Amino acid sequence: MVNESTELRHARSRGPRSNWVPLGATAAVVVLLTGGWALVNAALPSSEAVEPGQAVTLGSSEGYGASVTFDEGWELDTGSSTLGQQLRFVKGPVNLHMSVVEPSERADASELWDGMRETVRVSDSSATLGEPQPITSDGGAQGLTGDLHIQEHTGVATVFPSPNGGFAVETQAVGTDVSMADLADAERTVQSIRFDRDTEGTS
Amino acid sequence: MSHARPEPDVPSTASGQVPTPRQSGQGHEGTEHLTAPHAEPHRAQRLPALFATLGLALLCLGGFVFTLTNFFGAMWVFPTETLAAAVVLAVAGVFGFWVLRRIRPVRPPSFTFSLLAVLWGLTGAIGLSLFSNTQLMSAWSRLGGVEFGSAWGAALTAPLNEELLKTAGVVLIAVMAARVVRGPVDGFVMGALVGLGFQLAEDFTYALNSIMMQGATDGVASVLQTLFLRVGLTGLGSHWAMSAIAGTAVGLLAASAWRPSPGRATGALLLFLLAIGVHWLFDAPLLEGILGVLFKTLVVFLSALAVYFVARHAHRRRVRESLAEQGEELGMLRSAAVTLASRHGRHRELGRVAAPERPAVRERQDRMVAAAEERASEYRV
Repeated sequence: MVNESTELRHARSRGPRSNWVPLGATAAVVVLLTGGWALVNAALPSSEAVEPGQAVTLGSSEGYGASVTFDEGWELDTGSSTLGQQLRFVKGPVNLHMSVVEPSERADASELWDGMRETVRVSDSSATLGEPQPITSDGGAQGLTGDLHIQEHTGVATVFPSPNGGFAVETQAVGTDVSMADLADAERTVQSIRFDRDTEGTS
Repeated sequence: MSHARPEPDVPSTASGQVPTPRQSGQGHEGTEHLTAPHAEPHRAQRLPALFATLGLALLCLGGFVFTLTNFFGAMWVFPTETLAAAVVLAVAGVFGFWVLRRIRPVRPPSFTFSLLAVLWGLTGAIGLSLFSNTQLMSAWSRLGGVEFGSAWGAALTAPLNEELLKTAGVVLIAVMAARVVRGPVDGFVMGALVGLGFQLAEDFTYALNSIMMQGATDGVASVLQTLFLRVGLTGLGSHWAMSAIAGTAVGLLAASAWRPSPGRATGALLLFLLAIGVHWLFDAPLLEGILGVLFKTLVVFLSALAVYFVARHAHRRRVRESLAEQGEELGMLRSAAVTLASRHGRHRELGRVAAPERPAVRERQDRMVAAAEERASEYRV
């Protein structure tokens, strides 16, 4: 203890700090992490083509997996997509947004449609969903579909609960100056959604 | 027999001021006023401090506006859920704030700068992270494909961006007020407070996102379930712990006037890499499932705990030595001086004096401890 104290007593004064250095380093970090990553992201290709006829997995839960099959011309917006959560596809003026939702308790199509009435308003408080109509996909999945009015655009929204109600696939097809043919193309894609027994277990 | 020892070869404080020697050795008598050292910042520090203050204020404002812009829609559509999340997080935040200030050895940190640290995490750091994470995660998916980006994007993005941006707040505070971050212990506590603010904001955004990810069929349940997981289950090993480790690195550098020796620079770098490493482990798609998450939480918590105890031990040792020096200069018993290093010791000493004398004695204790911490910060590790 005595030696330690003696050592402390002979410690040198450090002098004033050079505070410009840490300040400059902080500014550089902020600029690099915001501007730098934005530049890198912008320099990379924003989408990749979806192979026609090949099933794209949307998500899986409680023994079931959901997939969708595309025609020609669709592209996946890779930067805005996360497997098992949300995937954004683009074809011409149409944006097809597909999300996988997992209710905390099992919910039927009607409850999920009511929930989607709320979630579409998050990005645009004036967005509305029309009255839903029953829909059956090519693979036999039962769901609801209806008009979507968002940011002065008209589109189509659909919800398909999984067979055991553990999760659901919600889709929204909208775009600027889209024709009925464009929307019909998106609806055909949505119609191809199917639920299959998940052989790899649950996620 | 005198306990006095020779004066130090160099002044222990920059101002060279030491408490006036007392007449007896009990540590309670006398009415002299001990001058707090370093009352005025060095002139050369004023301009950087001004820039740091402006920078912190602008980034906090910008971060707040950006975060609010991103989540205002959800808050507007789900007001009950927003209120529920705010109430739960406010309670957790007050508790965390109290605990993290309380763990600083010797004395609590400045209340104002503690709040500022939380504010940085709550606004500036979270807003900047939201923006930079979106860009980098998008870049990973564009570069490696959606499957790769979905699996590894978070682990390759958040540790780097968030630890750097949270730590930036500790550096700004250290530049604004050199006395607030004088060493590793200060860095640990300020980092922890920044992390607390960041965690609260992140939990809030996760809670709102969970409503939509669960189909908005029972929003309040989604919010409470998310907060239970993020506060109750993984809260011990969350952002406060990661930032505390990174903040300790800032404290190490600040203690050497930003001119560290190679050894100290290496130590600071290793601490920062440890913060990034445990954050990476937490976000990596490894050891998934409830047991895996608990294991990761424990690793983060124990890492922070280990760093804390090392920094705390070193700080308390130096403060005790400094108090012993002061005690000798004042003619106090070493034990009476050294005991002032702890809150309990100061309280016990106060209990030994008559009630009318306590305010004056308390004031002198505060000044002695302040001077001791200032002296301790001048010592080499």
